[in-house]
Amino acid sequence: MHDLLSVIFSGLVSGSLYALLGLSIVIIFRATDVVNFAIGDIATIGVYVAISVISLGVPVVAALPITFLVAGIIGVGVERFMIRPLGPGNMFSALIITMGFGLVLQALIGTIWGYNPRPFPPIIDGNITVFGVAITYQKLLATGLAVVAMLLITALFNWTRIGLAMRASAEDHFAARMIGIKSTRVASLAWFLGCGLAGVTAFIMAAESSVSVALMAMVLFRAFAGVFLGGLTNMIGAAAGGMMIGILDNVAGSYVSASFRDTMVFAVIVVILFLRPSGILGARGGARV
Amino acid sequence: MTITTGIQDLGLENITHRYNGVLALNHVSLEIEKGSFTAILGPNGAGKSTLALILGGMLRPTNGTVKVKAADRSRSHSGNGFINLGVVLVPEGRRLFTTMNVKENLLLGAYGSGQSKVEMMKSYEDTLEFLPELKRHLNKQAGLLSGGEQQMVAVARALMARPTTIILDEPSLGLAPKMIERIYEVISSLNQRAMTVIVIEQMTTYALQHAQSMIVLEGGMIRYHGSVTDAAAKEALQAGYFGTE
Repeated sequence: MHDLLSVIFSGLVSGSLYALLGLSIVIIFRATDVVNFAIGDIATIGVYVAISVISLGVPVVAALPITFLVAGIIGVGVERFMIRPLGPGNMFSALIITMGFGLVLQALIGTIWGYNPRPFPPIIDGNITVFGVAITYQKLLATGLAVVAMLLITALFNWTRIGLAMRASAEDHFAARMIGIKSTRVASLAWFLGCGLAGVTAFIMAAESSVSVALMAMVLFRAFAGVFLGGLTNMIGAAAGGMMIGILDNVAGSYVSASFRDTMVFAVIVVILFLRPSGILGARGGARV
Repeated sequence: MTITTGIQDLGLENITHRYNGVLALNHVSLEIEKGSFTAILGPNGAGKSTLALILGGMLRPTNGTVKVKAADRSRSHSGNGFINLGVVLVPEGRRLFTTMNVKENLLLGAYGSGQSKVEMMKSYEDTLEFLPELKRHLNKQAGLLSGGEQQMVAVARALMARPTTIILDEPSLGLAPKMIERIYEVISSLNQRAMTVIVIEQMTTYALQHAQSMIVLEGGMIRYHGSVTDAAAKEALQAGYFGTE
């Protein structure tokens, strides 16, 4: 007998990861109009580097900022050397480039670290019972990390000069350029933050299971679903969308059938997008005159 | 005909601009004197907005030389216009950040001029002192204000950069007469404080009441450039708008 409350709660726990990754996708999209399909693989590389430094004796906790930095710096490089040279308005080429680069990264990971799953040390042991569900401290910590990361991003975008500039640039590229905001700097920062946060998501995922090339496949799939559900241009929407996917996923898995999880989740998305094509909180198409 | 007295603030030499091959400006040369008030007039499609973007450094012309304070800036490629040189543009349609509040819009205006946080707050206070009607809207979302209020915010945002030169593209478009009068009162008072003012308008009435010199643009070419009160001015204006040769 399932208790709905506990199902929803564990949905929120996994949803927070989809939300964090969704947020990363939206930060990059709003600043540069690029849907970065390589984000999962860039994040995975960060985790493999973390594994290597942990094996050298670096504590697991210190490996988290390393993952963030590695993924962030790769992101900056991708924007600078692959996306920026395309010039503005090449959304489709950029999309293909990120997909291709993702495949290259996967091959690179396989070559350097091999294709067999690698164990990842847990950050913390033990568990606690909430709403009748046993939740590991690890999962709780993961959720806490995701929430803290989201709060930090909110603070950055609302209360700092660079955050304000990033919002301005996202709303109107031309007006932002006109008032002197350096669009290249905004783009670099967005890719750094976006890929870095994806790295944090990957780190949390790794700590819960083991690490393989396909570490991010399932999360990325659901994060994208959450982003399209909430709206590709809206950060709150993306986070809320991720949470909703987490809940839907769990409810469907518990009450319908575990093998129909994906079917249920995506059926709901199809219905919502049919009713509101730009997502629940996304900007509607068409300009106001 | 160009005015050659005084110090040059902005200068265009032989500017030609094409959009995908379509001619918008055809060998335009002009000089804007420091501290002057110039109205650039002309019918729809004359090339006025193209000229505004080039003067503000937001568009690189296909050919020709752009000078800011006597220095050649034709090759400047920052993408940020001439804001760091003290030249600000209030573009057509205002281009406010409509989802942000008025205060945020104003603060953003200071970003391009390299002001410190203290200088920025000083600019903010000065701007609000100059345009006190904005004080009651500071926490409102810019997109929810009336057209006239939005135009004021656009001017205020431009002033936050502490410019020496301000270019306004169609500031009166779509506004009620009373609001247009207030906008021109503000613009004139800026000019009286030694700021160089360039106003681009399709509607001539208000601009001509305040400007000292005018440029009539038609079909991408300058028809007239001289004093507003000159005898030839009225004729040029009629010819520019109605094509009487």
